[in-house]
Amino acid sequence: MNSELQKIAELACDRARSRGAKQAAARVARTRDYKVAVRDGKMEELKSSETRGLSIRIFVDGRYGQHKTSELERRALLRFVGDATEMTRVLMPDTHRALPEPALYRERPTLDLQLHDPKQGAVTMAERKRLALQAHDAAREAAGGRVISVGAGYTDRVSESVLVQTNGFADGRASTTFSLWADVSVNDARQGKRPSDWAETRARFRGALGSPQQVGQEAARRALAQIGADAIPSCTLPLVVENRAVGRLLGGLLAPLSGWALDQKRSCFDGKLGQAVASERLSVVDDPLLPRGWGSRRYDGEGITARRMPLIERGVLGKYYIDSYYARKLKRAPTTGGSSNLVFLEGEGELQELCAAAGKAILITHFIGGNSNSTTGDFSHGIGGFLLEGGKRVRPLGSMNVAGNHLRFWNELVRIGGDPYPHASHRTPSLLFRPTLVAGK
Amino acid sequence: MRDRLDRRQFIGLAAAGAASGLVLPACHGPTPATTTRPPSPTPLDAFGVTEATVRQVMDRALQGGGEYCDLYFQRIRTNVLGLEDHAVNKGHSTQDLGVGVRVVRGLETGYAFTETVERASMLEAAGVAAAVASGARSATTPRALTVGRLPAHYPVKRPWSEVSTGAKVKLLMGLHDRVGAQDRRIKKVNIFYRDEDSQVLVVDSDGRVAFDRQPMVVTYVSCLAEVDGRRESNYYALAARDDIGYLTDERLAHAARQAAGRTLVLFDAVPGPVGELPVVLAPGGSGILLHEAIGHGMEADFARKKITIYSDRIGKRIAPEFVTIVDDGTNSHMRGSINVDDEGNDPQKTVLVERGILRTFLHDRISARHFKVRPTGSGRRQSFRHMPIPRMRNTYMLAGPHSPEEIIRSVKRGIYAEHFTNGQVLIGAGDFTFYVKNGRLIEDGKLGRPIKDVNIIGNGPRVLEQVAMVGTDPRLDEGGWTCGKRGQQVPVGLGLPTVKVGAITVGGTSKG
Repeated sequence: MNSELQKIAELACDRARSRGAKQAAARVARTRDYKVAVRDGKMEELKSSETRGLSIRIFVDGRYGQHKTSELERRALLRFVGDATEMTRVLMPDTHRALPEPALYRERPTLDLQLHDPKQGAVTMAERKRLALQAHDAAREAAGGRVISVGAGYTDRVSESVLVQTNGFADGRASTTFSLWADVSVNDARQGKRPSDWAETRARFRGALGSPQQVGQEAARRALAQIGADAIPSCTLPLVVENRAVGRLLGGLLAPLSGWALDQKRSCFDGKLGQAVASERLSVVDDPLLPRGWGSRRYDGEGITARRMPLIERGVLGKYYIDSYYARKLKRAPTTGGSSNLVFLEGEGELQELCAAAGKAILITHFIGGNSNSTTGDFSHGIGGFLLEGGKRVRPLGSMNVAGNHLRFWNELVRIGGDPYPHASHRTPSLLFRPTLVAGK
Repeated sequence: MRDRLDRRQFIGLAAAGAASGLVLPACHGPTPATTTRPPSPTPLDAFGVTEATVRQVMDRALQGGGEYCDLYFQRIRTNVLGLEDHAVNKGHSTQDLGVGVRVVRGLETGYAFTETVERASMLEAAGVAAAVASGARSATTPRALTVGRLPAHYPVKRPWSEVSTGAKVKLLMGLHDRVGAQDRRIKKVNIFYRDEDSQVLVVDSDGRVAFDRQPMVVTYVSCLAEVDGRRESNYYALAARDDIGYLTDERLAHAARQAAGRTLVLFDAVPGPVGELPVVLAPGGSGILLHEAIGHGMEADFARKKITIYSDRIGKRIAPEFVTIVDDGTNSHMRGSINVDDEGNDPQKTVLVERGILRTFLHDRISARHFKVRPTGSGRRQSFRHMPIPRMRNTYMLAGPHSPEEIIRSVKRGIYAEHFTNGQVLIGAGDFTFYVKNGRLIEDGKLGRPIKDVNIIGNGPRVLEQVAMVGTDPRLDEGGWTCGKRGQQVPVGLGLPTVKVGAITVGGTSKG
C-alpha cells in the first residue's frame, strides 16, 4: 500500500470524524497517463499527465454524502472535508446508510493478481512513437490504394489507489495498462462513403502486448470489408454476434441486475432469481480473481472481499449485483455493487465456426447507438455487419436495426463461441441466436 | 475499452469582442505604446497567477520550436443532490482546479496539465507539452497580453456558491411532491440535480486573455408507474447555463407534468413498426437528428483528416431549399452556449447548411489554419485535462414553410417521433441512430396509438435529401444533452421545427 496516499486518506477520514461524522471512507488515487498518437505518418498528439484525487464518503447525523477533490494540499484538503461534512449534514436522513459490516472485509485474498508491471516506467516516448508508427505502417500497407487516412496510437497508464474506511478497512492496489490501436478510413467511391474500422491490443504487462503489425492489418482488413455496406429489406434470420460487439447487448442484460434497479422497481428481472432467464447453454461467472484480468480485484469499491460468483448457471439467474446499501434496503445479503470479470463457460469454436453453423444469417460486427429499457427489458440497436450464406460473408450490411426484449432474447441463444474477447473485463465470446426480425429497407 | 469508446461520437442525457482597453504590461519584446498598468483585479488574479509567471510558462512551452501555445486555467465547483424514496438523501460535491498547457506545431499537438497553479508545476507541464515540437528553436515569442471583452449570453444574478444546500433540498422536495400528485399510478420518483460553477481563463501566445464564468444547472426527474403488475418508467430534464432563477415554479410544474405524462402514456403503447417508413419529428428534442446526421460530420478535425462523409461537399446541395441548419454558441442561457470558446475564440452563430447548400465546417484553431479560414469558435474541451477539438454548441434548424398539421396530414402510414434518449453516428459511413422513447403511429394522416423504445437508423446525406417538409414551429429543447467525442464530454443544445423525413428505417418489433 502506498503510504503517502494512505496518509492523505487517513487525514481526510480523521477530519470528517473530528467534524462529527460517525463513519467515513476515503479513496485516494494517483494515475500517470502517457499517449502518443500518429496520423498519416506524422505525430498528431503527445500527452503526458499525472492526476491525483480524493473521494470521501461521509456518514454524519444519519445523513450521507460523497465528495471529490483534486486539491490534496493539507490546508485545502482539511477545509474541503470540513465543508463537505457540513453540506452532508443539511441533507435528509437515510437510516440505511452505513459502511459495510466489517465481517464482509474478512478473508481478503492475498494472491498476486498480476495487474502491475514494475517496468512500466522504462517505456520511452520514442518507443511509444515507434510502436504507433509500426501499427500505422502495417495498416497503410494492408489498406492499399483505397486508404484515405490511418491513425494509430499507444497509451500506457499506471494507477495506484488506497481505500481507508473508519470501521477497520485499509488496503491498496496498483495496476498498469498498455494499449496499442489503429483505425483506418477507406474510400467507398461508388456510395460516396468513407467507412472506417479499428483494432486494438491491450495488456497488463508491456511484454504481453500483441504485435503492432497484426493490429494495423486487422484494422485495414475490417475497414476494407465494409466497402459497399448497405441495408437489405427487413428479414428474419439467425444472428451471429462477433465477440467484441457482444458487450452492447450484454449491458442491457446486466443493468436490471443491480440493487438500484431492483429497489427502485426498474428491473425486468425483479423476482426472477432462481428462474430460467436464458437458454440453458448460457453459464456466466463473475470472477474477480483472474490473473491479469481487466476487472480483477481483491476487494470491491466498498472494501467487500471479492469472490467468484456464478451469475447465470445453465440459464438460471443465480445472483444480483447488490451493494451494502441496497442490501439493507432490500433486506437481502450483499454480493458486490458491480461486475468484475465476466467469464462465459463451455464455449466452443471460433467465429467462423458459428457462421458456418448459422448458414444463411446476419453477422453483427458492430452496434450503433440504440438503448435498452431496464424496467421492461425492451431494447433496440442499430447494427452493421454481413449477410452470410452457407456461412460465408456474401455482402456487407449497414443502416439496419435489431430489436427485442431481454426477457425473451437470451432464450434464443443456440451456441456460444470459445473465443472470449481478451481486451475487456467482460470476456464476451461470439454468440449465435435463433432467427430474429431485423429492420432494413 | 477506453480508446474504443474514444472513437465513438454519441449524444446522451444525461463574440469575444474586440480587444478592450484593459491591457497587461508585456515583459518580453517591444512594449506597445498603448500599454498602461492594469487596474486591479485582472483575470489572472482569479487564479492567483502573475503575468510574469504566465510568460515564463509560455516561454518554456515554446522552447522546443512550437508555433503557438495556450494555457487553460479552470476552477470548477459542482454540487449534486439525489432524491430517492421521498427524500433528498444523497449529496455529492466536487472541487477541481488546474491548468492545461497546449503546444501546437503545424497539425501536431503536445498537451500536459497540472492540478495546481503553482509555478513549478506549470513549468514542468510546459516542458512536457513542448516535447511535441523537437525541431529547431522557434522564433515565436509570446505577444503582449490583452484582455478580450466577452459577450454575456448567460448573465448570473446569484452565483451557485451563494445558494444554500437547504434551499435546493426544499426546491427538489417541492418538485417531488408535484410529480407524485400527478397520478396514483406513480410509485417512485427519482430526481438527479446538479449545479456547476466553472471559471475559465484562456491565455495564449498571440497575447489573448479571456476570462469567463460558466454556470450550469441540470434537473432530471424520472418516475416509475405501476398498473396491474406492469411497470413503466420515463423522465424529463431541465438544463440551462443559468442560476437558481431558472428553476421557476412554472418550469418545475411543467417538468412534473411532462415526467408523469411521458411515463403513463407508455402503458398504452403498441409494438413499433419495422422497416423504411415516413417519420415526422416533433419540434424540439428531435434536433438530435441534426446532431447525428450532419453535426458531427461537419466537425473540421474529421474534414481535415478527410474521414467524414461530408469531406468534399462544401458548396454542394445536400438538402432541399427550405432547409437551413445552424450551430450557435450565442443563444441566451442555452446549455451549449459559450461566451468564449476554450481556445479564446469568438463563439459565433455558424451556418452549416444555408437553403440546402453545405456552407462551412465547425473549426477550432488547428483546422482553421489548415483550411485557411477563420475559427468558428467551436474549439471546446471537457476540462483542463483535455485539449480543445471542434465541437458543436447548440445545433438547430430554422423555420420552414409547412404547417405542422399539414405535415402530419401528409403521411398515410408512418411514425411521429416525440422524445429521445440518445443517438450515435459513424462519421465516415454516415450511418446514424437516435432512440425514440415516446412516439406515435401515424395512420391515415392522423396521430394514432403510442409507441416506445424504438431505435431509428439512417444514413446522414441520404436522410437530409429525404427531408420532405419543414414546419413553421422551430423549438429549442431544454433537455440536458451531453455529447461525447474522442473521450471528451461537453454540454450541447438542440432544436428543430416539425420535420418530415420521407423514408428512414424504424427498428421496432412489429411487421404489421
